Amino acid sequence: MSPAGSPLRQLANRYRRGLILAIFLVVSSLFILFNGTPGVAKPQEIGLSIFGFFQGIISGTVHTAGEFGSSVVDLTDLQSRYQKASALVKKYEGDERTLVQLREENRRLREQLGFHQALPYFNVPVEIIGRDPSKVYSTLIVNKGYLDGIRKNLPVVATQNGVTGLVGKVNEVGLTSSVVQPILDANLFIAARVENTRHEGLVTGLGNNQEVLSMSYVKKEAQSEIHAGDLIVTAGIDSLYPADLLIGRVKTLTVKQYQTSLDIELEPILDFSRLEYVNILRSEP
Amino acid sequence: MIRTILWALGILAVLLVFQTTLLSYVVFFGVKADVMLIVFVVLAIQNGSFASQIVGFVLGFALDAVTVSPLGYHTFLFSLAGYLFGLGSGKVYFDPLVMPALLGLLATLYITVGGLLVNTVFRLGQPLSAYVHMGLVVQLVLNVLLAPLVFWLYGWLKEKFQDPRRGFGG
Repeated sequence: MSPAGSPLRQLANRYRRGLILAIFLVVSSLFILFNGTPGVAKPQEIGLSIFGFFQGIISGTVHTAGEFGSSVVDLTDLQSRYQKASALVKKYEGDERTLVQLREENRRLREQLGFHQALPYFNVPVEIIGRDPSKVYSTLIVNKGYLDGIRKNLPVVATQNGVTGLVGKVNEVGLTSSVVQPILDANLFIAARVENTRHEGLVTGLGNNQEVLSMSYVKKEAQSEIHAGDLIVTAGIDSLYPADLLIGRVKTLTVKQYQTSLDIELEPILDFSRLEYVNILRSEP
Repeated sequence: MIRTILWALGILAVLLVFQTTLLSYVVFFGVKADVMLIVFVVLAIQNGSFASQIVGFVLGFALDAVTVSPLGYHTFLFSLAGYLFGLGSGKVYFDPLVMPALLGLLATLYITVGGLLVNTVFRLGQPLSAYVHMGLVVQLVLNVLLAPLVFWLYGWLKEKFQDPRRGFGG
């Protein structure tokens, strides 16, 4: 060790900290000053490559963890949505059934409305809200009564598939509901005639809700003129029912030797089991 | 000494990676907490000026290498920061709250004002608004709040993992 070097070394040791700082600051300043100068190496490119590798690992891990986390969240969310969707599907199924029913009801109401407007008589459209619980009697309960202008013995008609036929007559009238006695009832008699031959007779039901009618008191001479399928209409002579309302069709024709008239079995023109709305005819609005 | 520097550099390198990846998701009002700066200050206070300025130089260089800042910008700032904050080694009494918070405040102000000075002196062309903006207030608050936590965590880890026995004879 040279004698001259010793004080310098001592000085350097003494100010070592400051010296190194000065060197660093100078070097840093030179870096800044020559930053971007052509020919000077760009450590950013190397640094970014190395650093990017580690960043990639961390980011990848974080991303994977995040994806896993979000997958779990998604799955939970999916399950929740599935349950909600299932509940919705059930609700919609119910709604769809209701919609179908409403459409059908709407169709029937439209039909009824059309019928109501097309009928050449003043009429009150009513809905059947009940049927006689017993089998012996086959009355229908409708949702309008005295307050709606319904009176006893008014004729009741209905339309099905575009065909308008006689249902029966009002038998009892309450304030807001009425009882209709249908032509199927064995106690209801209607003056009728064969539409094409104009032969008269008396139509009555057989009771017990049988959808069969009987026409009697038709002259035996009409046997050759009446055929199965012929239409039977109201005669209009008893002032209770308007004339030419359809009642039914001839089903069978029976001739008994000891009788002076024919026994005709009729098939009602209306399907009473499907009746929902009927119209009560009135003589005034 | 070398071991101390390497340890500090290792910790800061890991933090540097985390700062740019994981902590990018921890944002308050558009501002990230500068965990690495606070840890650097903690280490500087712990290790003294000599080691810390070397650590600062290397860390600054690494920062310059991985950011778009001009080469030398962070090197200058962190070398000086290591020196300055290292001066406090053994001279500052650390309570759990006030002193760490104060150091967090000083470190944030230093980086801002120092950066502004370097930018001005070396005509780096950054506008004043790049340094002084509303986010600075949030940054200050965040770092002030974070510093006691980092100091406490460092003390806890040190106590947990450092062998309390010391070498004999020197």
